[in-house]
Amino acid sequence: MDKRRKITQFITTLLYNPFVTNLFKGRLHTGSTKGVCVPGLNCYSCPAAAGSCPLGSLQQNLGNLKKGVNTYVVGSILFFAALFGRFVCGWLCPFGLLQELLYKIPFPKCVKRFKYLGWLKYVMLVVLVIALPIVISIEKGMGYPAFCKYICPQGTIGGMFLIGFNETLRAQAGLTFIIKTIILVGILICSMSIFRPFCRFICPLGAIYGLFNKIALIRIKHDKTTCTNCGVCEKACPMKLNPVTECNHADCIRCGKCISKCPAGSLKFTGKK
Amino acid sequence: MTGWMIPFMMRSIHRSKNGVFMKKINLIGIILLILSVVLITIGAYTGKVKETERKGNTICLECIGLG
Ligand code: SF4
Ligand code: SF4
Ligand code: SF4
Repeated sequence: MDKRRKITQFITTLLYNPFVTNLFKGRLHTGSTKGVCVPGLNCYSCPAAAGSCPLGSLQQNLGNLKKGVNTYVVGSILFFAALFGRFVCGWLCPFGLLQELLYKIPFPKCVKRFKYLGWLKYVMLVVLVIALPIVISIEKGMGYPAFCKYICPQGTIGGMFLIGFNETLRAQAGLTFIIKTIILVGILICSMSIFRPFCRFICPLGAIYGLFNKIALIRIKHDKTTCTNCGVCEKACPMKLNPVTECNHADCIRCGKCISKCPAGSLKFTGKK
Repeated sequence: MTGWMIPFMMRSIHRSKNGVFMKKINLIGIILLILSVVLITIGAYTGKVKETERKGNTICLECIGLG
Protein backbone atom coordinates (compact mmCIF):
# COMPACT_ATOMS: atom_id res chain seq x y z
CA MET A 1 0.00 0.00 0.00
CA ASP A 2 2.79 2.44 0.87
CA LYS A 3 4.37 2.00 -2.57
CA ARG A 4 1.03 2.65 -4.26
CA ARG A 5 0.60 5.74 -2.12
CA LYS A 6 4.06 7.09 -2.98
CA ILE A 7 3.45 6.56 -6.70
CA THR A 8 0.08 8.37 -6.40
CA GLN A 9 1.73 11.25 -4.53
CA PHE A 10 4.39 11.66 -7.23
CA ILE A 11 1.88 11.44 -10.08
CA THR A 12 -0.39 13.98 -8.37
CA THR A 13 2.50 16.38 -7.83
CA LEU A 14 3.34 16.17 -11.53
CA LEU A 15 -0.29 16.55 -12.58
CA TYR A 16 -0.64 19.68 -10.43
CA ASN A 17 2.69 21.06 -11.74
CA PRO A 18 3.29 19.87 -15.31
CA PHE A 19 4.89 23.10 -16.59
CA VAL A 20 8.29 22.40 -15.02
CA THR A 21 10.27 24.42 -17.57
CA ASN A 22 8.40 27.56 -16.42
CA LEU A 23 10.26 27.29 -13.12
CA PHE A 24 13.38 28.58 -14.84
CA LYS A 25 11.67 31.28 -16.90
CA GLY A 26 10.41 33.37 -13.99
CA ARG A 27 6.81 33.49 -15.21
CA LEU A 28 3.50 31.80 -14.50
CA HIS A 29 1.71 29.31 -16.69
CA THR A 30 -1.58 30.88 -17.73
CA GLY A 31 -4.61 29.12 -19.18
CA SER A 32 -8.11 27.85 -18.57
CA THR A 33 -6.92 24.99 -16.32
CA LYS A 34 -6.25 27.62 -13.64
CA GLY A 35 -10.01 27.68 -13.20
CA VAL A 36 -9.81 24.21 -11.65
CA CYS A 37 -9.24 23.93 -7.90
CA VAL A 38 -6.90 21.04 -7.05
CA PRO A 39 -7.58 19.09 -3.82
CA GLY A 40 -4.15 19.57 -2.19
CA LEU A 41 -2.11 22.59 -1.14
CA ASN A 42 -0.47 23.73 -4.37
CA CYS A 43 0.12 27.43 -4.96
CA TYR A 44 -1.34 28.96 -8.13
CA SER A 45 1.60 31.33 -8.10
CA CYS A 46 4.05 28.49 -8.62
CA PRO A 47 5.33 28.87 -12.21
CA ALA A 48 4.77 25.15 -12.90
CA ALA A 49 1.19 24.98 -11.55
CA ALA A 50 -1.69 24.03 -13.82
CA GLY A 51 -4.55 24.56 -11.36
CA SER A 52 -5.62 26.78 -8.48
CA CYS A 53 -5.04 26.35 -4.77
CA PRO A 54 -8.33 25.87 -2.87
CA LEU A 55 -7.06 27.68 0.23
CA GLY A 56 -5.73 30.68 -1.70
CA SER A 57 -8.94 30.90 -3.76
CA LEU A 58 -11.02 30.78 -0.57
CA GLN A 59 -9.07 33.63 1.04
CA GLN A 60 -9.32 35.68 -2.15
CA ASN A 61 -13.08 35.23 -2.09
CA LEU A 62 -13.48 36.01 1.61
CA GLY A 63 -11.47 39.17 1.05
CA ASN A 64 -13.86 40.23 -1.67
CA LEU A 65 -17.32 39.27 -0.43
CA LYS A 66 -18.89 42.28 -2.15
CA LYS A 67 -18.95 40.11 -5.27
CA GLY A 68 -20.78 37.35 -3.36
CA VAL A 69 -19.65 33.95 -2.13
CA ASN A 70 -17.64 31.98 -4.68
CA THR A 71 -19.86 28.89 -4.56
CA TYR A 72 -17.52 27.17 -7.00
CA VAL A 73 -14.54 27.32 -4.64
CA VAL A 74 -16.63 26.49 -1.54
CA GLY A 75 -18.29 23.64 -3.45
CA SER A 76 -14.93 22.28 -4.63
CA ILE A 77 -13.53 22.22 -1.09
CA LEU A 78 -16.73 20.60 0.21
CA PHE A 79 -16.57 18.03 -2.59
CA PHE A 80 -13.01 16.96 -1.72
CA ALA A 81 -13.81 17.00 2.00
CA ALA A 82 -17.01 14.96 1.75
CA LEU A 83 -15.47 12.43 -0.60
CA PHE A 84 -11.93 12.09 0.75
CA GLY A 85 -11.51 13.85 4.10
CA ARG A 86 -7.78 13.83 4.84
CA PHE A 87 -7.20 11.09 2.28
CA VAL A 88 -6.19 14.16 0.23
CA CYS A 89 -3.35 14.77 2.71
CA GLY A 90 -2.08 11.20 2.63
CA TRP A 91 -2.31 10.65 -1.10
CA LEU A 92 -2.93 13.83 -3.10
CA CYS A 93 -0.85 16.69 -1.67
CA PRO A 94 2.61 17.73 -2.92
CA PHE A 95 3.56 19.51 0.29
CA GLY A 96 2.71 16.41 2.30
CA LEU A 97 4.97 14.39 -0.01
CA LEU A 98 7.81 16.88 0.38
CA GLN A 99 7.65 16.62 4.18
CA GLU A 100 7.56 12.81 4.03
CA LEU A 101 10.64 12.73 1.80
CA LEU A 102 12.49 15.01 4.21
CA TYR A 103 11.53 12.73 7.10
CA LYS A 104 13.43 9.92 5.36
CA ILE A 105 16.72 11.82 5.79
CA PRO A 106 18.77 10.34 8.64
CA PHE A 107 18.32 12.92 11.41
CA PRO A 108 17.43 12.64 15.12
CA LYS A 109 13.69 11.83 15.19
CA CYS A 110 11.20 13.30 17.63
CA VAL A 111 8.27 10.91 18.07
CA LYS A 112 6.22 12.92 20.59
CA ARG A 113 2.60 13.52 19.66
CA PHE A 114 2.33 17.23 20.67
CA LYS A 115 -1.44 16.73 20.97
CA TYR A 116 -2.33 20.30 21.95
CA LEU A 117 -0.18 21.86 19.24
CA GLY A 118 -2.62 20.23 16.81
CA TRP A 119 -5.19 22.92 17.73
CA LEU A 120 -2.96 25.57 16.18
CA LYS A 121 -4.13 24.66 12.67
CA TYR A 122 -7.72 25.52 13.66
CA VAL A 123 -6.54 28.88 14.99
CA MET A 124 -4.79 29.44 11.63
CA LEU A 125 -8.01 28.54 9.84
CA VAL A 126 -10.28 30.81 11.88
CA VAL A 127 -7.92 33.79 12.26
CA LEU A 128 -5.77 33.89 9.12
CA VAL A 129 -7.98 32.21 6.53
CA ILE A 130 -11.44 33.41 7.57
CA ALA A 131 -11.45 36.35 10.02
CA LEU A 132 -8.58 38.58 8.86
CA PRO A 133 -9.40 38.46 5.12
CA ILE A 134 -13.02 39.40 5.88
CA VAL A 135 -12.32 42.10 8.51
CA ILE A 136 -9.47 43.80 6.64
CA SER A 137 -11.33 43.78 3.34
CA ILE A 138 -14.28 45.50 5.06
CA GLU A 139 -11.99 48.05 6.73
CA LYS A 140 -9.63 48.78 3.87
CA GLY A 141 -11.74 47.71 0.91
CA MET A 142 -9.10 45.36 -0.49
CA GLY A 143 -8.42 41.62 -0.40
CA TYR A 144 -6.10 40.33 2.31
CA PRO A 145 -5.10 36.64 2.08
CA ALA A 146 -3.41 36.63 5.50
CA PHE A 147 -2.36 32.96 5.59
CA CYS A 148 -0.78 33.24 2.12
CA LYS A 149 0.88 36.52 3.04
CA TYR A 150 2.51 35.56 6.33
CA ILE A 151 2.76 31.78 6.58
CA CYS A 152 2.15 29.54 3.58
CA PRO A 153 5.45 27.79 2.78
CA GLN A 154 4.07 26.31 -0.43
CA GLY A 155 3.71 29.81 -1.91
CA THR A 156 7.25 30.68 -0.84
CA ILE A 157 8.66 27.74 -2.85
CA GLY A 158 6.99 29.05 -6.02
CA GLY A 159 8.06 32.57 -5.05
CA MET A 160 11.70 31.52 -4.84
CA PHE A 161 11.66 30.45 -8.49
CA LEU A 162 9.81 33.60 -9.59
CA ILE A 163 12.12 35.89 -7.64
CA GLY A 164 15.20 33.91 -8.68
CA PHE A 165 14.46 34.11 -12.40
CA ASN A 166 12.55 37.39 -12.70
CA GLU A 167 14.54 40.57 -12.12
CA THR A 168 11.52 42.87 -11.77
CA LEU A 169 10.11 40.71 -8.98
CA ARG A 170 13.50 40.32 -7.34
CA ALA A 171 13.73 44.09 -6.96
CA GLN A 172 10.53 44.04 -4.87
CA ALA A 173 11.61 41.34 -2.40
CA GLY A 174 11.74 42.68 1.15
CA LEU A 175 11.07 41.83 4.79
CA THR A 176 7.91 39.75 4.18
CA PHE A 177 9.82 37.53 1.79
CA ILE A 178 12.60 37.08 4.35
CA ILE A 179 10.06 36.17 7.08
CA LYS A 180 8.31 33.70 4.79
CA THR A 181 11.63 32.14 3.78
CA ILE A 182 12.58 31.68 7.44
CA ILE A 183 9.20 29.98 8.09
CA LEU A 184 9.70 27.71 5.07
CA VAL A 185 13.24 26.73 6.09
CA GLY A 186 12.07 26.14 9.69
CA ILE A 187 9.28 23.83 8.52
CA LEU A 188 11.61 21.93 6.20
CA ILE A 189 14.21 21.42 8.95
CA CYS A 190 11.51 20.32 11.43
CA SER A 191 10.22 17.86 8.81
CA MET A 192 13.49 15.95 9.03
CA SER A 193 12.85 15.32 12.70
CA ILE A 194 9.04 15.37 13.10
CA PHE A 195 6.68 13.55 10.74
CA ARG A 196 4.74 16.19 8.72
CA PRO A 197 4.90 19.08 11.23
CA PHE A 198 3.13 21.49 8.89
CA CYS A 199 0.23 19.09 8.29
CA ARG A 200 -0.13 18.27 11.98
CA PHE A 201 0.15 21.74 13.48
CA ILE A 202 -0.29 24.47 10.88
CA CYS A 203 -2.16 23.64 7.67
CA PRO A 204 -5.68 25.14 7.58
CA LEU A 205 -6.60 23.05 4.55
CA GLY A 206 -5.77 19.88 6.47
CA ALA A 207 -7.85 21.31 9.34
CA ILE A 208 -10.87 21.71 7.04
CA TYR A 209 -10.53 18.20 5.62
CA GLY A 210 -9.97 16.79 9.12
CA LEU A 211 -13.36 18.11 10.25
CA PHE A 212 -14.93 15.81 7.64
CA ASN A 213 -12.78 12.75 8.42
CA LYS A 214 -15.53 10.88 10.26
CA ILE A 215 -18.19 11.38 7.60
CA ALA A 216 -16.16 11.37 4.38
CA LEU A 217 -17.11 8.56 2.03
CA ILE A 218 -13.54 7.22 1.96
CA ARG A 219 -12.92 6.27 5.59
CA ILE A 220 -11.23 3.63 7.63
CA LYS A 221 -13.40 1.02 9.32
CA HIS A 222 -12.33 -0.87 12.37
CA ASP A 223 -13.85 -4.26 13.15
CA LYS A 224 -13.98 -4.58 16.93
CA THR A 225 -15.04 -8.19 16.69
CA THR A 226 -11.79 -9.36 15.14
CA CYS A 227 -9.42 -6.84 16.76
CA THR A 228 -7.14 -8.40 19.37
CA ASN A 229 -5.98 -5.05 20.76
CA CYS A 230 -2.40 -6.01 20.04
CA GLY A 231 -1.31 -2.37 19.56
CA VAL A 232 0.57 -3.00 16.30
CA CYS A 233 -1.48 -0.36 14.46
CA GLU A 234 -0.74 2.30 17.05
CA LYS A 235 2.99 1.65 16.72
CA ALA A 236 2.71 1.85 12.92
CA CYS A 237 0.83 5.18 12.83
CA PRO A 238 3.15 8.02 11.77
CA MET A 239 0.62 10.62 13.00
CA LYS A 240 0.86 9.11 16.51
CA LEU A 241 -2.80 8.09 16.66
CA ASN A 242 -4.39 4.95 18.02
CA PRO A 243 -6.51 3.65 15.13
CA VAL A 244 -8.55 1.50 17.55
CA THR A 245 -9.72 4.26 19.89
CA GLU A 246 -9.29 7.16 17.45
CA CYS A 247 -10.44 5.65 14.18
CA ASN A 248 -10.93 8.42 11.56
CA HIS A 249 -9.53 11.06 13.95
CA ALA A 250 -9.23 14.54 12.40
CA ASP A 251 -5.46 14.04 12.13
CA CYS A 252 -5.66 10.71 10.30
CA ILE A 253 -4.25 11.23 6.80
CA ARG A 254 -5.48 7.78 5.61
CA CYS A 255 -1.93 6.70 4.87
CA GLY A 256 -3.02 3.09 5.37
CA LYS A 257 0.05 2.04 7.36
CA CYS A 258 -2.15 0.73 10.18
CA ILE A 259 -4.22 -1.23 7.65
CA SER A 260 -1.15 -2.91 6.14
CA LYS A 261 0.30 -3.76 9.54
CA CYS A 262 -2.83 -5.10 11.32
CA PRO A 263 -2.22 -8.85 11.72
CA ALA A 264 -5.94 -9.54 12.28
CA GLY A 265 -7.11 -7.62 9.20
CA SER A 266 -9.40 -5.55 11.44
CA LEU A 267 -8.73 -2.25 9.71
CA LYS A 268 -9.87 -1.56 6.17
CA PHE A 269 -10.79 1.28 3.87
CA THR A 270 -14.56 1.62 3.37
CA GLY A 271 -15.69 -0.30 0.33
CA LYS A 272 -13.08 -3.04 0.87
CA LYS A 273 -14.37 -6.47 1.96
CA MET B 1 -30.98 -20.36 25.09
CA THR B 2 -27.62 -21.99 25.53
CA GLY B 3 -24.96 -19.75 27.11
CA TRP B 4 -22.45 -20.17 24.33
CA MET B 5 -24.77 -18.35 21.94
CA ILE B 6 -24.75 -15.10 23.94
CA PRO B 7 -21.36 -13.76 22.77
CA PHE B 8 -22.31 -14.77 19.24
CA MET B 9 -25.59 -12.81 19.46
CA MET B 10 -23.87 -9.81 21.04
CA ARG B 11 -21.54 -9.82 18.10
CA SER B 12 -24.34 -9.77 15.55
CA ILE B 13 -26.24 -7.05 17.50
CA HIS B 14 -23.06 -4.99 17.48
CA ARG B 15 -22.69 -5.61 13.77
CA SER B 16 -26.24 -4.53 12.93
CA LYS B 17 -26.01 -1.43 15.17
CA ASN B 18 -22.73 -0.62 13.51
CA GLY B 19 -24.36 -1.21 10.12
CA VAL B 20 -27.16 1.31 10.78
CA PHE B 21 -24.64 3.83 12.11
CA MET B 22 -22.45 3.37 9.03
CA LYS B 23 -25.43 3.84 6.73
CA LYS B 24 -26.32 7.11 8.49
CA ILE B 25 -22.75 8.36 8.15
CA ASN B 26 -22.69 7.40 4.49
CA LEU B 27 -25.96 9.25 3.97
CA ILE B 28 -24.50 12.44 5.47
CA GLY B 29 -21.45 12.06 3.23
CA ILE B 30 -23.62 11.57 0.14
CA ILE B 31 -25.84 14.56 1.00
CA LEU B 32 -22.76 16.77 1.41
CA LEU B 33 -21.36 15.47 -1.85
CA ILE B 34 -24.59 16.30 -3.67
CA LEU B 35 -24.63 19.75 -2.04
CA SER B 36 -21.06 20.33 -3.20
CA VAL B 37 -21.94 19.41 -6.79
CA VAL B 38 -24.90 21.82 -6.64
CA LEU B 39 -22.61 24.60 -5.36
CA ILE B 40 -20.03 23.90 -8.06
CA THR B 41 -22.74 23.99 -10.74
CA ILE B 42 -24.16 27.28 -9.43
CA GLY B 43 -20.61 28.67 -9.37
CA ALA B 44 -19.99 27.54 -12.93
CA TYR B 45 -23.21 29.23 -14.13
CA THR B 46 -22.51 32.49 -12.31
CA GLY B 47 -19.03 33.01 -13.72
CA LYS B 48 -17.13 31.97 -10.58
CA VAL B 49 -14.90 29.56 -12.49
CA LYS B 50 -13.75 32.46 -14.69
CA GLU B 51 -13.15 34.52 -11.56
CA THR B 52 -11.00 31.73 -10.07
CA GLU B 53 -9.16 31.34 -13.38
CA ARG B 54 -8.47 35.08 -13.58
CA LYS B 55 -6.98 35.07 -10.10
CA GLY B 56 -4.92 31.94 -10.84
CA ASN B 57 -3.51 33.50 -13.98
CA THR B 58 -2.18 36.55 -12.13
CA ILE B 59 0.85 36.37 -9.83
CA CYS B 60 -0.37 36.62 -6.24
CA LEU B 61 2.19 38.90 -4.59
CA GLU B 62 1.08 37.85 -1.09
CA CYS B 63 1.65 34.16 -1.88
CA ILE B 64 5.21 34.67 -3.06
CA GLY B 65 6.05 37.00 -0.18
CA LEU B 66 6.07 40.35 -1.99
CA GLY B 67 2.63 41.70 -1.08
S1 SF4 C 1 -2.30 19.12 5.83
FE1 SF4 C 1 -2.13 20.65 4.18
S2 SF4 C 1 -0.02 20.50 3.43
FE2 SF4 C 1 -0.44 18.68 4.66
S3 SF4 C 1 -1.04 17.18 3.19
FE3 SF4 C 1 -2.93 18.12 3.96
S4 SF4 C 1 -3.39 19.81 2.55
FE4 SF4 C 1 -1.27 19.16 2.19
S1 SF4 D 1 -3.28 -3.96 14.71
FE1 SF4 D 1 -5.32 -4.73 14.23
S2 SF4 D 1 -5.71 -6.25 15.74
FE2 SF4 D 1 -4.01 -5.05 16.48
S3 SF4 D 1 -4.98 -3.49 17.75
FE3 SF4 D 1 -4.75 -2.63 15.74
S4 SF4 D 1 -6.70 -3.06 14.75
FE4 SF4 D 1 -6.61 -4.37 16.52
S1 SF4 E 1 -4.57 5.96 11.73
FE1 SF4 E 1 -3.77 4.60 10.13
S2 SF4 E 1 -4.32 5.62 8.20
FE2 SF4 E 1 -4.55 7.14 9.85
S3 SF4 E 1 -2.62 8.24 9.90
FE3 SF4 E 1 -2.47 6.56 11.38
S4 SF4 E 1 -1.57 4.84 10.23
FE4 SF4 E 1 -2.27 6.32 8.74
